[in-house]
Amino acid sequence: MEHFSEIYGDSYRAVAAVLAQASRAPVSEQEIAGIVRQHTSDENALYIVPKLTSGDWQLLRRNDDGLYSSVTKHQGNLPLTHLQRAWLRAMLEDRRCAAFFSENERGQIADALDCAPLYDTQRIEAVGVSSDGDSYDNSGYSARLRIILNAIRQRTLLYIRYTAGTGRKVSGDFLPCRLEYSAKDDKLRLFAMFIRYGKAVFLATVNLGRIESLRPSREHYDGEVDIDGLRMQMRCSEPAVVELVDRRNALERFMLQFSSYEKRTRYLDEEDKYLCSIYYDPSDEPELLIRLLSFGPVIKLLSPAALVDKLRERIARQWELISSAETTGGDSDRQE
Amino acid sequence: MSDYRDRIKNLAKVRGYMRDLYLYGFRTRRDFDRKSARTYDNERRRIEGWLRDYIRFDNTVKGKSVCISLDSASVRSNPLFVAWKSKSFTDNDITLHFLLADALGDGGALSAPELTEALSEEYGAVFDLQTVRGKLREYEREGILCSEKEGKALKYRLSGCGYDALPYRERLDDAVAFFSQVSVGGYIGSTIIDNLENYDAPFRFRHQSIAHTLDDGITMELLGYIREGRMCRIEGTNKRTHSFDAERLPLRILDSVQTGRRYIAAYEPRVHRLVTLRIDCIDSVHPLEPHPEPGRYHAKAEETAPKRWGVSYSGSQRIEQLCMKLRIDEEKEKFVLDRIRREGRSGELLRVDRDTYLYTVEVYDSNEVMPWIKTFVGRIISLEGTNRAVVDKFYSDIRLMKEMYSQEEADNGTLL
Repeated sequence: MEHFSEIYGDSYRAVAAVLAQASRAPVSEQEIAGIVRQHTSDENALYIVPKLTSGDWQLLRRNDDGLYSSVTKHQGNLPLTHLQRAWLRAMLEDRRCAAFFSENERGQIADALDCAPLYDTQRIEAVGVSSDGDSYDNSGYSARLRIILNAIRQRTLLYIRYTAGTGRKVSGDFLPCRLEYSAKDDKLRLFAMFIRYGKAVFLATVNLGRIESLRPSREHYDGEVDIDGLRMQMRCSEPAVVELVDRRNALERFMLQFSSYEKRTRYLDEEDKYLCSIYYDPSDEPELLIRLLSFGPVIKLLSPAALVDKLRERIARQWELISSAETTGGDSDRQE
Repeated sequence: MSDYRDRIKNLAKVRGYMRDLYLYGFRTRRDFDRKSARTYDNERRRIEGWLRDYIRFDNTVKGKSVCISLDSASVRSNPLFVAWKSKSFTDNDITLHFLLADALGDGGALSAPELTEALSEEYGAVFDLQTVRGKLREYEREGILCSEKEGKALKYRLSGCGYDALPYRERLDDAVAFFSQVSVGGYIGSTIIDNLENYDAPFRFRHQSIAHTLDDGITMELLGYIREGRMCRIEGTNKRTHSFDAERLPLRILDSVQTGRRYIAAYEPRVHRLVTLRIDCIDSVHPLEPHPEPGRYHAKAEETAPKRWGVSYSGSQRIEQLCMKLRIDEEKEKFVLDRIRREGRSGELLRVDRDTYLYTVEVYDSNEVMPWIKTFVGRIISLEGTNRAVVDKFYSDIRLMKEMYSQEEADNGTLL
């Protein structure tokens, strides 16, 4: 099984898309270029398009009107490769897969795949995952996930009852928009628009594990929800700017830990320091704060001022606690 | 640059550059001095082309820096998968790929000579028999085709396992979309999603270390040897640019969701120890003989897991203890208690008296716990432990942070 193969490449996918279109109706060179560029880099498109139109690849036929038709007669995808089947088989072994299929259903898919898993998922250990992750094998959980996925697909509203993070019980009509998984929390959360009297009110975030019940809603909402745009609007207006020095391997540790954020880093040559701007969602600020604290004195938060104040307040409070413990002899062993 | 092509023969070279541009993104051409400037130019040009929507430039006194900048929670699929989808190919490869599939598209079975003739007659594409036979064998190995003897002739047909024929298709699409982003080898799943028409994945992913895909080749190779119980020689270069090369029995992959690093835990007979190696530092893995008793070391890895905070076995079997006394407002800060229970792994949390709690943990390497301990800054009454150096460092760090952030020093505070 070849893992790195042109069969899976974007060039083949681009050409398949051109052939599919050119089988339905003849296409111009410009249309070919447009389709190819949708699937691959501009530079690769510059290579592919002349190969197709010149006849080098013998896949398109030039008609008298200058348009191109496909020489192929059949449509549809190729069979799965051994690699794809083995990967799917490994997917079925993942404990989280219980949220998507019952054991019996997974057995049926495994039988259809008729191969061994690509690897043993139990030999992969996630370290540092929160211990209260979602219960993927709970039948109620998987049923709710299915209903939500269906509602997202069909753009239908659900009446949802759940317990908010504060412990407050919430219920209402929601348009489910998107699910978000956190590897660290091992949880799925739902972004759903709260709808009242046919109007979008606010975007709610609901942990799937906290949903008590859901059923089809009688509310209607015909508007569009631009979830990406909304989340972009929710992003901080000012990034967190962090200065760091490369001691205790801080640079690499920091860059890896914050790799999932959009960030820009500059090296300040004269000072031998790095300046990193992190763009974050303000609702994640408490998490960002404790992650910054975990780096200790190898980083210094420079802005925004409100976040710096919170950090400063935590450190001052810590200093007070240590000082009072020393005064009362609470840490006498350390003083020896 | 005349021999430049956007496609690549293997991932080894682009892997390091892509990681650097994504994780760091501040280095300029002259910082990449381990290979020639020409190599840097070619790899940067490729990456810029592949990831045009995520590329940002910065002009510094040292020159132009290029970075891959993205919020991984905002993308439906890992953009770095593109490296896996950029393999080079020949004119014959691509022509035969589409024409053979089309010639066999009606479900029939044809021999290599019959297919060679069909390509010529039906498509006007002339290939020699050996070339066609080679491609047929290759596609049989990959599982796209299967063969059967008919008399003396070996006939090929498209294999029967199509994705569309699998049961529970709608839910399967969602499952594949999900696992393609969270599993080892996720790019394989993404190649299935690539072929779905009008499918809009409903998932996004937080805290996702998307750079792991660049190491998936090595990770899957190691997982293969783990399954076989096979010793292997692991070669690479660590962060201090020291190369390493040792014979090890790979046991499990450790995926640290906190640090964003992925490791292989292995038994190293030379030192009679369980060790861990960062997978992004590994350049190659070479199979050796199967180990006579891999089960013994799997059991050892299992047995030692509860005393491992992160990935360190610390080289000795001595256990270190760490005790943190905390001030937590029971009424208003229940969420802190919940967090300790959630994230405190094998540690124990005891209520000492009102608003005072004691968290105790026993681990191989208490230094690994310290980043987590520091997340409670502002609440720690005292920290004690059997490793004095670790405890002393905590107190000196607090002192340094206090100086760094004190209002008076705010303008000229210095980093460690």
